[in-house]
Amino acid sequence: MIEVNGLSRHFGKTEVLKGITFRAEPGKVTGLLGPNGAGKTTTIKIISTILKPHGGDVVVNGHSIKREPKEVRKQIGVVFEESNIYARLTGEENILYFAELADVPYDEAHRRMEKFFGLLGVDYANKLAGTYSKGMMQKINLIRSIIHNPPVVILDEPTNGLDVPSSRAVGTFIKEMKEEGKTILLSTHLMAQVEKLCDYIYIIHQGKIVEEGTPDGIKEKYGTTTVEDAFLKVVSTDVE
Amino acid sequence: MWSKVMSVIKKELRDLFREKRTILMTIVIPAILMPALLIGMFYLQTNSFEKESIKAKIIAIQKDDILAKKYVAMLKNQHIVEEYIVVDDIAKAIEEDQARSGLSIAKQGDSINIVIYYNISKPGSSSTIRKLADIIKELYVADYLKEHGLPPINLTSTIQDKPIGDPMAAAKAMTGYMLGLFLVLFTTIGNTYLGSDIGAGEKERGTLLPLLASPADREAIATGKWIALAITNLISATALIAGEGFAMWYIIKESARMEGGQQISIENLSNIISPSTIFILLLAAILLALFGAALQLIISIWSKTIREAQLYLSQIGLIIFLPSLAIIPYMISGSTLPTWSYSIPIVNTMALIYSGIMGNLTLLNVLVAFGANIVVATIVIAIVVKILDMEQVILRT
Repeated sequence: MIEVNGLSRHFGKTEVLKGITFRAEPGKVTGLLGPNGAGKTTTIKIISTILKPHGGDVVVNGHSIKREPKEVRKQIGVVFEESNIYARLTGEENILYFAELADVPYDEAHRRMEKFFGLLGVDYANKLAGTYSKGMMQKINLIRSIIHNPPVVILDEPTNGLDVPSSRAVGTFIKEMKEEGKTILLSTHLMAQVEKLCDYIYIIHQGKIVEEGTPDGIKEKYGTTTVEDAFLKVVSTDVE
Repeated sequence: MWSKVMSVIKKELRDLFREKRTILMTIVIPAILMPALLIGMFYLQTNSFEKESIKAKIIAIQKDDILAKKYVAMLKNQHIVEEYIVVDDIAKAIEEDQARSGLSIAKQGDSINIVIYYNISKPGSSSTIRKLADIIKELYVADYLKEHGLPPINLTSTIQDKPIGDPMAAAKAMTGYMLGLFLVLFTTIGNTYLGSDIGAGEKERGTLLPLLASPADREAIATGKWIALAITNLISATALIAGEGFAMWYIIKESARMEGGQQISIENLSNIISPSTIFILLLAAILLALFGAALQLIISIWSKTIREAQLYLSQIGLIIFLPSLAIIPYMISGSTLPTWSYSIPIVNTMALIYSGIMGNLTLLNVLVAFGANIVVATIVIAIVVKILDMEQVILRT
């Protein structure tokens, strides 16, 4: 469970987050949508304890990011939009390194890794990662982030720049995580993916949560047939 | 925490040594290139020395100079002069490179006046002809005494050396100085590629954020990276010591051969680099590796890019090397180093190596040096841990 309460953050004089509040629940995929610069990535970096909030707090499975950042890091698995894997290690070594950092026993880590290799169609992870395609790298990145079986998974644009088969594989992966009862926070620009995967969505615009609801509920509220159309209506107006 | 530190060390070493440049920077350059440089310097120096030797190759004399012809011919018979040429104009002959030097002799009453000619642009030519002039003076005196019915002067008078103290002291001082210098330079400036890659490289390649969001403590990450870097520095330092040790042995052997055909075995080298000295050298290398790694890590983590880190590391490496210049005069002169030199990192490594080789190292000096470096390295690691929590630093890209 992620509970974001009155979170605010500024960079210099620019207020990026203006006291946002939302929650993501276990066994559900919660979408965080917003145009570029809305504050999605800042929110994800604060939840991941990379950035510190200037106001408010985030509680992850009962642990405050302010008071117990180390505990929070044990609870989460994160794929950052700009994150990468080690090019001079193989895919397997990348994954097992993060398993070791999380104290996951080797056998268990190997078992989980093989399971996700099958799920995502990874078949040459013993080669150096520098030789991989972008899709392959992202698959390794995803597996690496959840190798320690965290109850909370945070994904920032996980399908950015991927081809259709790889995007679909990531979708399958997210569904699998959901089946396992994990709390999933998904930030994405792909509205079709949101409609397919998200149980509940928050739309963030100019540092504020401006809309929330189920995909169907939001479509109904704005009288549109797609989430994308509803999203465009929501973000077309300035926030006070 | 230590299992995670081990994981970080293992990963970093694997990551670093899969890069070909790492092998080149860590092993090939210190083990081969630096000793080659030392041997090259030796031959350069030896070559200059040989040019300065009394044995002259070609001496120019003027065609109407009977005295010069007489004495130079005598020197040729004694194999002191290899060849001489008779010319109209000595200066012109030297300018045209027909001879390295020349002389003319004019009688002035009972005495003679010797004028020596040499090419000022060629090192050694003046000292050679000056020494020849001295011999001619002695020969003239002998002739003069004989002509005037006086007893002959004994020209076989010799000067005998009676050196006091350790005959190897100069070689030891030079060895200590050169080893210390190379070791310090190499572990602070030489491995800048590896140092910059370990922190700034993570930022540049986008691998730092997942690492910092992982369950691993910042302390484990910083300590693991520090130790991994220290290990690569230590490998470099060991390769350098081995290479320089070989270079020293080769130089001593060659020096002995040139000076009289004496054979120097590897055992003779132990006069300079004994097992206890090697132990001190390795201790000093560990000390330097730990301090150098801490310095490289803090700069690397602070920098935005590998390029920026390399720039800072090369400049700071030179700056921190400056204090060690203060002890170089002691080292070159073979004096005992002042106590303060053991309390400053980098300086103390040079001091340890030097004193170890000179055989005047005390336990107190060793303790002071280790204590100082451990304190500094601990402070640096604490700062690195803080830095890894400073978002303005880790997000600098």
